[in-house]
Amino acid sequence: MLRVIHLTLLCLLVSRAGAESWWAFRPLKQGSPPNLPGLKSPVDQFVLSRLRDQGMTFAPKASRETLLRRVFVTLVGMPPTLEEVEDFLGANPEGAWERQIDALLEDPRYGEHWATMWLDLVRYSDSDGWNQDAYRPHIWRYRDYVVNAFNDDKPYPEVVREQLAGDELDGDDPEHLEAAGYLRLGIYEYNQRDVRNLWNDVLNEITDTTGDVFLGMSVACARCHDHKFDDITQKDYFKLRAFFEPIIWRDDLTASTANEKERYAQQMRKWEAATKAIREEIADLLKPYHERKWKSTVDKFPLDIQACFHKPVDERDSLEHQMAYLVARQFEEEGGGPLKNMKKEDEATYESLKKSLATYDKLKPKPLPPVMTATAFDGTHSPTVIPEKSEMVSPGFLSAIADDSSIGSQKSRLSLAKWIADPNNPLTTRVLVNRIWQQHFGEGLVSTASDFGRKGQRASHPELLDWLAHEFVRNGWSIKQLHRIILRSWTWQQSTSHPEARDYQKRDPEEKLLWRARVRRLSAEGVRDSMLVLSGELLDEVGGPGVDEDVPRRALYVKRFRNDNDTFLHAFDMTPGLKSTPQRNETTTPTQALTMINGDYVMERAKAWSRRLQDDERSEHWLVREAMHQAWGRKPLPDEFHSAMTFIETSQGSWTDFCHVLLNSNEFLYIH
Amino acid sequence: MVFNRREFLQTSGAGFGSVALQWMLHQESQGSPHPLVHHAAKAKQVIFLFMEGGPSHLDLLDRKPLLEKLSGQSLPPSFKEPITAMGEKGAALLAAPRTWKRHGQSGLWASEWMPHIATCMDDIAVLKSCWTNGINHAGGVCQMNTCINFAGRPSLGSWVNYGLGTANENLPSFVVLCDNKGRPVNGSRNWGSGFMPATHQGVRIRGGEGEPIADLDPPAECPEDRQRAKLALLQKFNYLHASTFPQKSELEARIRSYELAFRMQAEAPEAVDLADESEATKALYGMDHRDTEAFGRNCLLARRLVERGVRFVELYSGTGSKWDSHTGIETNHSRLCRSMDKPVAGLLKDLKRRGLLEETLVVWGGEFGRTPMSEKGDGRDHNPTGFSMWMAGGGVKGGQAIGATDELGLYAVKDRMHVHDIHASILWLLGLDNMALTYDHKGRPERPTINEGDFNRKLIGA
Repeated sequence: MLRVIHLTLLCLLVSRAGAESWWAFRPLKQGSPPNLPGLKSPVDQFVLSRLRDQGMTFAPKASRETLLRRVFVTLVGMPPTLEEVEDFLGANPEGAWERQIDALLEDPRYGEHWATMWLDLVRYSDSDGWNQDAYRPHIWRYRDYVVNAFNDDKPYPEVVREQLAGDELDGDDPEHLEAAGYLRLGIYEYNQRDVRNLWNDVLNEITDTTGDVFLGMSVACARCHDHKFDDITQKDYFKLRAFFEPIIWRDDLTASTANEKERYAQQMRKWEAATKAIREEIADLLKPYHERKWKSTVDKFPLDIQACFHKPVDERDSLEHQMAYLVARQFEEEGGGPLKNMKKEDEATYESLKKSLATYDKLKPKPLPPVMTATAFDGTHSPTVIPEKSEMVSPGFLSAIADDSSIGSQKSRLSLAKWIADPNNPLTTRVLVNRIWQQHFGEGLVSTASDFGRKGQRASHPELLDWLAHEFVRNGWSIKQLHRIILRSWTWQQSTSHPEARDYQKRDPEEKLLWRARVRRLSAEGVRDSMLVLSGELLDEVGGPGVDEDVPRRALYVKRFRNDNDTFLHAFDMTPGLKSTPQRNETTTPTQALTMINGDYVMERAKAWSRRLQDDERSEHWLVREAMHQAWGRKPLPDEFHSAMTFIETSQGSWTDFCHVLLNSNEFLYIH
Repeated sequence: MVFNRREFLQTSGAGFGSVALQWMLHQESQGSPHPLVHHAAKAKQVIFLFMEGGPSHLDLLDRKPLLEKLSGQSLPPSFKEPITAMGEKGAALLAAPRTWKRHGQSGLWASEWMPHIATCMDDIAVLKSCWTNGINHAGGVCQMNTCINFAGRPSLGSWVNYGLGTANENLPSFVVLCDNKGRPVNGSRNWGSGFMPATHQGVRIRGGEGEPIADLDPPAECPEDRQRAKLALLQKFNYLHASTFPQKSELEARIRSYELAFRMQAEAPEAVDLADESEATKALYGMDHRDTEAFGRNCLLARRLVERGVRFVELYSGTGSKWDSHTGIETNHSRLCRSMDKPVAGLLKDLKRRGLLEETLVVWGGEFGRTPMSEKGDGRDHNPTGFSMWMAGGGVKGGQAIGATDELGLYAVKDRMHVHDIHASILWLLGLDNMALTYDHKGRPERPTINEGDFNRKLIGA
C-alpha cells in the first residue's frame, strides 16, 4: 500500500514537471521537405539532410535482383519466382520499378500479406481462448474484410468507421457488419457463471485494444489510476470505455442486403407454411428437454443474473440484456447442449421427424452468410461507472487532445470513429503512417509503434513523419499511395552494405538515421508461404473459412487457435492473438532449428520441391544452380556452387537433402 | 554500444537457454551464477508441482473441526455465500472424513491421504491462506501460471528465465512435464512467454519412450552421417552469408542455434535417461508401482533436470483437470493423492540427501481449493477464496504453517496470500525483486506480479 502511494506521489511530480503538451498530442507540422538539389523524393530530402548534418550519406542502391526480392517480400509476403525475376530484369528499365510496384499493389496477395499487420494489432484469432478455445466458424469474414480493405485501398476513415461502428452506418452494405466483427475479437469463456466480471473484462479489454490500435496510446494503465507518465486520466479511460458500454453481441445477423433478406424471408415463409405441422411436432417432442436444460442452465447463475434473464426484453437495460445473452449462450454451448441424454424412443422419433422435415429442403432458401458481430442496445444504455469511486461517466475523448463539445448528442461509437479519423486528430495519421513505415523498414520512425506517449521513443525524423501524415491525408488516405512514396525513395532502395559502415556504426549504432537498409528475417507466414512457393504446392485460393495446418494455402488462412502456441508458425514468432501486437519479436531459437532440420513439415516441402526440380531432366550442374537460384533469388557464388556440388556428389544425388539444406539456409530465411 | 543488455537479450537471445548473447553475458559475469539478481538468492531453481484441477485443502492440510460438526447443514448466515462455478445454491456442508495426525517435531497437521509427504512436514511451510481470482479452471490455471486470470502475460517460468538466464545452454531452462498424454487446461499457453520473445517460453519434455523434445531427433530416413553432412553444408552457406552482413548478429545466432540443437540432441536424451538411476532411487519415487509410476518418473526427471541447470521445472499432476472433483471426491482424491504422494515425498527426500534441497525451491499446489459445501451430494465445487499450498527447500523455513482460513475453510482470513504474493515470494527466494524486474512493453514497465504482491518474510522465518 505504502508503495502505491509512493509511486502516485512520484508520478504527480513527474506529470507536473512535464506539464507542457507532449509532441504527439500537438497538431501536425506543415513542413515542406528541405530543398536538396538533385533529389526527387521528398522522403530522401528529409533523410539525407539529417545524414548530411552528421557528415554522413546514403549507402549505394541495392542491386535490381536484391530490390526485387525485397519488394516482393515487403508487398506480397513472398519472394518472386524465377519467371518473375526474369520478367523484371528483362523489361525496359525505364519505369520498370514503378510498373513493378503498381503490379504488386494490384496483386491480391498484397492484401493477404498486409492484413497480417492489422490482424496482429486487433489480436485476431479464429478461437474463443480460455480453456475450451472453441473455433469461431464465422469470424473469418472479418479477416477477409481486412484483406479486401487493403486490396481495395479503402480510405482509412472508412476502415475506422466500419470497424468501430459498422452497425451504426446507414445503408445496407454487408461489409459493415463484417467489419464490426472488430467488436467480437476478444476472448470468451463458454462456461463462466460470473458473467458480470466476464463482461467487465471484455469491455476493459476492447477499450485497451482500441487505444493501442487506433491511437497508438497505451491507455490500459489509466484503468486503475491516472496514467503515471501520459496525460490520460482514469476518467479518460472510462469515457473511452463508455462508447462500448451498450454493446450487445449478435449471432443472429447476416452479411446481406435488404433485398437479399427480403427474398430469403419470402422463400422461408413458403418453407415454414409447408412444414408447420412437422415443426410443431418436433417442438412438442423437444419441449421437456429444452425446459429441463433452460432450468439447469439458468439455475447455475448468481441470483441477480437470473433476474436479468427473466426480465422482459423491453424492460432491460443494455447490461441486463447482455447478461441475458451470456446466460442464453450457455443453453446450447455448455454441458453438451439440451439434447444430451435423450430417451432412446424420443431419439428415434426425433430422427424420423428430422427425415420428414428434410424432404422439404428443396423449398428452403440458401442460408444467408452469418456474421459474428455486435450492435448497440436498442433501449436504455447502462451507465459507465469508475469502480471504487462510483463516479458515472459519459462517452468522451482523451482530454489532453480534445474537449467533448464536438461529440454531439449522439455519443455513439460512430462519433468516436469520426473523432479518431479526423485529419486533425494528431495521433491517428502519425500512428498509421508510422505503422506502414515500420513494415517497410523493420522499425518505425517512432520505434514504439503503439506507444506515442512519454514512455515511448520520440520520432527519429519528426518532420518526415508529419510530412508523410499530411501527404497521406492529401492523397485521400490512400495506403497504396503511401507505399509508392516510400518505395520510390533512395532511402528504401539503398543497400544493406555501406562503404563507411565501420565508422557509421560507431556514430549511429542503432542505424536510426537510415544510412543503409536492414537485414530482416521472413515472418512466420513468409517462411511457410515461401516454402510452399518453392515446392509448387501453394494453392492459389483467396478468402473463405480457415483451413487446417496441412492444407497448402497461405498461412493467413490457417486456423489460429489461441491456446496452441507450439505450431510451426508460432515457433517463428507468430502472435498468439491475445494482446494487440504492434511489432512481432524476431527470435532465433533452437526450437526453430529443430523444427526446420528435423521436423516433418519442412522435410515434406523439401521432398515436393526436389521432385518438382527433377521433372526437368537436366545435368546435376544445372539442377544445383537452378535450386540455389530459386531459393535465394540469385545465382550461387563459385564457392557456394562448389560446396553444393561436392555435397551432391558425396551424397550420391540426394536432392531432397540438398533442397532441405537450402530451406534451412539464412539466405532463404532473410532478405536484405 | 548504447543498448541495454537485457533489452538486447529480449530480441536476440538465441535460445531456450540463449545462444551467443546470454553466453556473452555469462562470460562477462563469471564467478556469479546469478548475474542479474537483485539480492542474495536463497534458491537457484524451482520445481513447481501443479495439482491441476484443484485439490481439496480441507481434506489434505487444512483441518476444520467445525466442518465435521456442521456437516449436512447449510452454510451458516455468518458466512457470505460465494459465487461458485457450478452454481449449486444452498448446498449442505460436507465433512472431510479423514484421519488427521500431527507430524514431525513441528506437529503440523496432515491427513491420511498424504502419508509420505506427512513424513516431510518439518521441511515444509504450509501456506493456508492462499486466494486467487478466477472461479473457473481456465482462469485459475492461467493465474497460477501468469499471475492473472486473463490470457496474454508471460508465465512465471518465463519471468525466471528472463531474469536469471540459463545455467546450461544445452537444455531448455524452463521445462514442463505432464503425467499423462493429455493437455492441461489452456494448453501450451500456460508456459507461453506472453508479450516476451519466445526465447523465454517453457518447453514440454516427455519422459519414457520417444523424443523427449518435439523434433529433437533427426528424421528416421536421415541417418546421423547424412545429418552431419547436411549440417556441414548448411553452416558453410550460413558462414559465407553471415560474413557479408556482419551487422546482423541474428545470422550468427542462427548458426549457433543449429550447433546448440545438435548438442541438445545429445544432452537431452541423457538428461531424461533413467538407466543410471538405482532401483532403490526409482523405488523411492514410487516408480516400482503402477499407481505412482507416471508421476514418480516425472519427479525423478525433475531432479535430474535441476541437477543439470534447468531453472524452472513445472510438473502437472492430474493433467487435464483430473483433481477436479465435483462428484465423488472420495474416489477421485484417494486415487490422485496416491499417485502423487509418494513421488513428491521421494523427490523431497532425494533432493535433501543430495544437498540439492537447499538450493531448490519446491512449490506444491493447484489453481484453487475446494468448497466446504458439497456439490451433487458427494463432491466439492471450486474454492478460489481460500486454499492451501506449500513450499519446501530453497531457503524456506520448514515445519511452519502460515496464515489461516475461516473456521470452515471457505475464505482466507489471516495473513492472506494472493497469487501475486505467492509469485513475489518465489521470485524473492530466487534473488529477484518483483518490483525491480521489469520488461518494457508498449510503454509500460511490465512486472511479473503486475505491480502487486509482496514477499511473505515468514517463509524464511523472519
